[in-house]
Parts: sequence; structure tokens; C-alpha cells
Amino acid sequence: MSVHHDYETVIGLECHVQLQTASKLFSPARNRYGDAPNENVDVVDAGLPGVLPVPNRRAVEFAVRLGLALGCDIHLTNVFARKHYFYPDLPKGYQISQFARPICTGGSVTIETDQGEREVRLTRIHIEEDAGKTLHRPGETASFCDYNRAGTPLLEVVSEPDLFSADEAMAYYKALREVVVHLGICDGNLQEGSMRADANVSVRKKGSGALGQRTETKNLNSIRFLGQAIEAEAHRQVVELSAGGTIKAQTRLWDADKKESRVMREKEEADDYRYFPDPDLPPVVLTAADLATIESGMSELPRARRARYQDTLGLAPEAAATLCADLALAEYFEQAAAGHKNPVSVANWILNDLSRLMGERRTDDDEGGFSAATVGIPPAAIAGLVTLIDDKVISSTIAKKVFAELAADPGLRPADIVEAKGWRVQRDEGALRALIDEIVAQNPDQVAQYKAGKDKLFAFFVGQVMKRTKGQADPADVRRLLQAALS
Amino acid sequence: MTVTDQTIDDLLKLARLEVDAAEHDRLRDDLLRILTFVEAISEVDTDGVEPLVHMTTAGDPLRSDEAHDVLGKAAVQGSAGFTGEYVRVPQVVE
Repeated sequence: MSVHHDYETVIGLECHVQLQTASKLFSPARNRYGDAPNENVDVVDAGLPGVLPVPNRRAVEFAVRLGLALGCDIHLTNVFARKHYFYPDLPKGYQISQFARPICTGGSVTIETDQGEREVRLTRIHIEEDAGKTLHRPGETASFCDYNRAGTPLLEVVSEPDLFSADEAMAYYKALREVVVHLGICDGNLQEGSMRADANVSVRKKGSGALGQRTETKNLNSIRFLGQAIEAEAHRQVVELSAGGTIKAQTRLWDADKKESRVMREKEEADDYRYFPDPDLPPVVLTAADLATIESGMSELPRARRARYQDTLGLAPEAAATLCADLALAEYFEQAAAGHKNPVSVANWILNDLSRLMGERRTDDDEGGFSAATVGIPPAAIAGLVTLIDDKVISSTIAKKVFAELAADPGLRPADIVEAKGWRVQRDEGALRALIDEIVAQNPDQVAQYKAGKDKLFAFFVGQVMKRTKGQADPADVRRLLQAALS
Repeated sequence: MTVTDQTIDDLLKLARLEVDAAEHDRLRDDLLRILTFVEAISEVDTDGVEPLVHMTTAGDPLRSDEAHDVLGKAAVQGSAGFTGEYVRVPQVVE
């Protein structure tokens, strides 16, 4: 494999993002995965003569959201075009897409690499309709079409050849998925094909500025397959070139079972899709006010949120990342930490005790994510609990008991629980000192061992005091008075 | 403007059409006449003129994202290959 060190891989990705609209891009048929075949087909989707497509406002808005999130130039006037090719799952004989005047150009996706963050430039984002599904059954001499997916809205996100390894391509795909899920425009469900990528891969001698001949590997529907397909294709090209061969322009298909790609078609001449503006569809014309309205409805992106949690609220990177990985969890934290003077402690309670409770109470409806309704405890109660600790009204030991009470009855206020149970920290130093003297007198062996240098026994004495005070003593007071008594 | 036999062959291939030799010649001559006619427009100086993609510049009315009951299977049942569930098509080998 030593020849590989002489080459570098260059990758550009085309990602198809399925938009979670209620209806299709140009028809009122349901945009829903998993229904019976051909249930969600309108005359427009079936390409019947004399019908007119009408664009879905939400699909256009979703494109704007993604464009704003990725810093693209958004073209207020953009144009749908027809892309012609024949395939049985494309009833009209053309796909409505955007070509010369897409909705977004430029922009970038930020990826995490071993060398830190890097911007991967985008060429464009355009809106297009998906095709139906063709089923191939073994032993059959025909294929079978289901047009439920025909006409569902997609965004195609095209990157520049700015990725230089399979790992970077996977990081890009993950970052893009995080953004579209966070924006609420795509469910990010890779198993159901909600995101699919085509990888343009070429290799070149290191230090060479020119791009090598590329191939396109289509329909990669998981992050793992994407990585495997790129590794395999780069390897194939390096072996070919090292043996004195050449790379041909090809479209290839990845076989996930065999972990190899095969040629789908040779591209001897450039594809001729005969694009032209769709005469059925006047240009989409947006205003600056439309963009402002859309932007005002957008939630903060995970990367910006993570940075804010770390820089402004002082959270550790891991805590910030865990909170931001789940929008519901992040929103719960936001509510609990709003105006609180100790957001770090609030975050810790949410990530430890509250997340543990979520794990215990998780139902099938929760789909692996956090749910404020499932845990039941309102964010304000967590905030109140942390305040009680910070104000030294209760010890952290008692706080655990207050949390257990909250878990049992989320309607209670932490301060009320503390009062009702008489759990306030005991501030009577004389009583505490007397108790400590008593414990010291009752444990002469431990006192002797401690004084002989067995420092670990200090924790034993702290434990005894906390036990006798039912956790209501302030641990700091206990340590100070114990040290005095044992010296 | 030239329209060669190869031009016609390419177009026929893209359109998945087959024609006989006489029709092939007629198409070639027709297409040349059409293109020559349309070429008259190139006499106009269009430098700096934004290409017009549609007769209206008002913008397309957009539809609100509401799903309705649609024809469903009835929309495809007219296809010759409708099986009651799928549409049967000539085998496509990828």
C-alpha cells in the first residue's frame, strides 16, 4: 500500500436532503414514507397530460433556511428547470429541478477534523423533485414502480471538491445532517433514505494542483457506506494509475454487502439532460422581507449553541456537546439556566440525575431523545434545587433526596420540600461540635489509626457525622470542625 | 447553422425514437429550416439584457403546504402495466 502515500484523494459530495413537508413539491399528495404503494399519487405526480405544478411554499422556505444557516447567497429570483431523461420511475420523462438559476449558491459547511475546524465550500443548493421507486425482484422479468416518492421535495447540496479523505467526507455528511435536523427541515433518518449522497472521487499525485479524472458513486445512504465507498474507490484508482492505467469517467454503484463498487454506466460523453426553464413554472420571486421572516423563525445552530454554552455560560466542551446533540435537552437546559448564576451546576444536574431519570422513564414514543414531558420535573425545579445548594440552604447529599422527591411528585417546589421535611442545613455549630466530640470519643481505634497517618479515615468521620445529622450538616463545616477535633 | 445526419441520430437516441431513412432526411431538412428561421433573432443586440425565462415576471404563486386526499392509485390505474398495487414496467437493469 506504499504507493498510496504518493497520492491524495479529492472528494466532492452531492447530498440529497429529503424535506419533511406535509405535501409534495408540486402537488397536494402526502409526502409520507411507508404507505402502501401508489397511495400518495396525484395527477401531477403521475405526469398526466394537462396538469399544472404549483410549488410548495414550505419547501422554498426550507431551502432558504438551509441557505441562511450555511451562509449561502440566496437568490430572490430563482428558476425551476426541466431535466430530461428516461426512466420508468420518472413519469413525465423529465425531473423538475433548478439549473442555471438555483435558489442558493456559495456558502460552506464547517467540519471537525484532526487539525481542528475547517470550512468546506459549497457550490450550490437547489430545489428539486424526487423520482419514484423501482423495485427489482429476483426471478421476475419485469420491474415494478411505486410513485409515492415521485414529486417529494429534495434539496440537493453540492460541495466543491474540498474534501481530502473518507473521514472528512463522513465528517461533512454528519455536520450537514446535524444542521438540517436542527433546522427542522429533514428528519435525518438515513435508513429511510432521508439523506442520500453521491460521491465524486478522484486521486492525484501529492503536490499536484490539477484534479484527476473523477468517477461518481451514487446513492450512498449511510455515513459508514459513504466512507467505505470512498476508501474503496480511491484505492481502486491508485492501483489503476500505479499500474500505468487510466481512470475513465464512470458512474458507479456501491454494493454494501460485497463492499465493492461496480460500473453503472460509462460516461463517454457528457450527460445531455437538455435543461431548460420549465414553461409551466414562472420564476420563484422572494423579497428581502420574506427572508427576514424566515430567519426570525429559525433556531440557533448546534455549533453556535455549543460555542455559546462554552464561552458565555462556562460549560465544559463535553457538557456543551451532549446538551446540544439533542434539541429538546438543550431547550430544557436553556429554560432551567435562564438567568441562573450557576449554569454549570444546572447543566450537571440535567446531564447526571435528570438524564438518569429520563433513561428510567423512557417510552417507545421518545425515540431515543430527551422529553421534558417524560421526565415530568419542570426546568424551574432544577434551577431552584441548584439555588438551594448554592445558597447553602441544603447540602448536596440532601439535594439528592430533594431530587428523588421531585421525581415522585414533579408538582412540588424544591424549597417547599426542604421546609416540609425540615432538611435545612443545621447551622448550630455548638451542637455540631458536641456531636463530633461524641463520635471521636466513640471511635478511639479509628482516631488512633488516623493520628498514626491513615489519612483515608477522615472520610469515615465525615460519613459518621453526615449519617448522624441525616445529611443536614454543611460538609464544609463538618470538615473544618473535624479537623480541629482530630488534630 | 448546420444540421447533420449525426445531429438527427443524436436527437433520436435522446428521444428514444426510431424513424426510417426518408423520415430521417425530412427531419434533418425541417430542423435546419426551423433553426434558420429562429436564427433571425440573433440580429438583435442582446448584450446586457437579462435572459427572459418566462412571460410573467410577477413570480409564481406558491401553495401552502397542505396535503389533501388525491386520486392515489386511480392516477396510475390507466397505465397498461398497473397490477393493482405497482406499475409493471419493462425490466430495468442497473
